[in-house]
Amino acid sequence: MDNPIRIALAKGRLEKQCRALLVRAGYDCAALESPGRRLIHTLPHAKAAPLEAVLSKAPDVVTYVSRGVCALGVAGKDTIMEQGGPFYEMLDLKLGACRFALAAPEGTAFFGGAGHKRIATKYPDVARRFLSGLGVDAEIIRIEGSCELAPLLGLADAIVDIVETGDTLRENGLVILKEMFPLSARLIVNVAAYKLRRGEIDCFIEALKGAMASC
Amino acid sequence: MRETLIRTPEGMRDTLFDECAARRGREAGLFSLFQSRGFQEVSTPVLERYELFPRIGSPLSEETMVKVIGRDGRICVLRPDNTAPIARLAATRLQNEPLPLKLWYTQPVFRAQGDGFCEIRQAGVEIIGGKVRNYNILNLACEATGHYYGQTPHIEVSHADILQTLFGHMKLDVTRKERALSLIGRKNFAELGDEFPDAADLLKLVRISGGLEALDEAAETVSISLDRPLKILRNLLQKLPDKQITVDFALAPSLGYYTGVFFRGYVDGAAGAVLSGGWYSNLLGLLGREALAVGFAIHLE
Repeated sequence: MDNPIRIALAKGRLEKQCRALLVRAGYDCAALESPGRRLIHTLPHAKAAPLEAVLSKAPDVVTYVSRGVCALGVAGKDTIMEQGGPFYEMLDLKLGACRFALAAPEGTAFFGGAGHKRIATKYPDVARRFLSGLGVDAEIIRIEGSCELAPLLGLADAIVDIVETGDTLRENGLVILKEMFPLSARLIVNVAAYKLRRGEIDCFIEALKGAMASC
Repeated sequence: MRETLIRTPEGMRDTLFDECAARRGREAGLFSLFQSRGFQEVSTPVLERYELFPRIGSPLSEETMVKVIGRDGRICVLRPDNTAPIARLAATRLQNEPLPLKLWYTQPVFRAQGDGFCEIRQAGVEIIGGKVRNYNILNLACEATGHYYGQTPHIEVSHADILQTLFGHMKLDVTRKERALSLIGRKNFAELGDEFPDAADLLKLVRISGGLEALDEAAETVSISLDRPLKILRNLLQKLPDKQITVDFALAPSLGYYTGVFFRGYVDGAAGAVLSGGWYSNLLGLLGREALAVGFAIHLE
C-alpha cells in the first residue's frame, strides 16, 4: 500500500469553503476544523483512500507542490500567477471568486502626464507584467499588508490587488481603473506525482467535480 | 563574525566526500552502459556563443541563460543545454565524419533561477544521422535511467506532428500558439477552453492519455487525420509491452523544436521529469548540416 496522497490547503480566505468542498466529496474533515498544534492531518474517506492534509500559507502551497512534497494543492489563482512554477493546474474549484484590479484614489489621472507611476502591491510580478502590457512605466513597491493604505500615505499612485466586493476600496476613496483578471481557487498537481499516481489523483479530481456539481 | 567570508554564488554548491563518492558510483554504471553500446564520449566548452540558441529555436528563454560578455564584446552563455552544443559540434568539427555519429556526454548545464543560478548535472546521448528505431532509443533511455535511479522510470510519450497538425488547421499566429502550448503543458484545460473556444479537436485531444486505447480514442475523437503520428506511437507502444509507458497528448513541446516522437521520464522521489528526449531533425539543418537526430538527457540529481 502506497503512502496516502498529500494535499496542501491554503489557510485563510479559501480555507472554510475548501473544507466544505472536501466534506461534500466524502472526506471527514473534523481534524481540520480544530487543528490545534498539529500540522499534518489525516482525512478519512468511507469509500476511498484517506488524504493527508497540510494547512499552510498560500505561497507555501505552491512551493510544496512544485517541489513534490505534496502531490496536490489548493491555492488561489492570484498566488499561482504571482509565483508560477512547474505544476499542473487541473481544476478551477470556483471558490473564493474575486479579481485582480488596478485601483487609484478617485479623480487620479493615472494614464495621463509625464513621469513614472508608483504601484503598491502584494503581487509585484503580476503588477509588473500587467502594467508593462498597458505601456505604463511603473515602479513597483512591494507591500505585505493592506495596499489600500499606500495611496493614502502618499507611498503610491495606485495599487494592484485582489478585489472581492470592492467595499474596502470604496471606504478608502479608491476606484477601479482597470479590471485585470478573474480569480478563484485552483487544484494544482505535482507533475511527477500525477504520472506516478494517476489513478488515485484522477479519482480525487472526479470526486471534487462531483462535489462541485452538487452544491 | 566576519562579514567578509566569501561564499558560493546563490544556488551554486560544493560537493564533498561521501556525496562525491556516491555520485561517482552511480554514474559509473551509466557511463559504461553508453560505452558498451558503441557511443563515443564528447565534451563541449562551458561557454557557448549566445546566438547559437535563438538560431536553433531553443525552447530556453533568454532570461534563463547565464550570460558572459567576452573581451570582443560578444555575448556568451554558460552552457544552458547539452543538445545544442553537440549539434553545433556535429555541424562544425565533426562535419566530415561519416554518419551516424553516436555520441554521449556528461556535463552540467547552468540556468539563471530566482536571484541566483542553478547547476543541473546531466548525462545523455545524441545519435546524428542513420536509422534509429524509436523503441531502441526508449529502451536505452529506460535502461540508463534505471541504472542511475535504481528504479524503472515511468515514460510518457507523444509525437510533435500531432499538435503541429492541429495548430496548422487552427491557423494561429506564433503568440497564440505559444499561449495554447503553455496552457496545455500545465493541463489547464479550463482556461484553454475559455481562450480557444473554437478549438474543438484540440480541447478533446489534450485530455486523452493512456496506453493503446488512448490512441484509438484519439483517432475516433479528432476530425482531422493524425494517422501517421498515431501509427508511429502505436508501433512504439506495441514494441515495448513490458515498459511503463503511456501516451499523453498534453505533452507540449516547444514550438518547432521536436520533429518526431518525444518523451519524458519520471521516477519516485523526484518532483519533475528526470529524463527528456526525442527527435530534433530540424536543428542540424539550421546549423548547416542536414541530418536526422535523436537523443535524450538524464538529470543526475
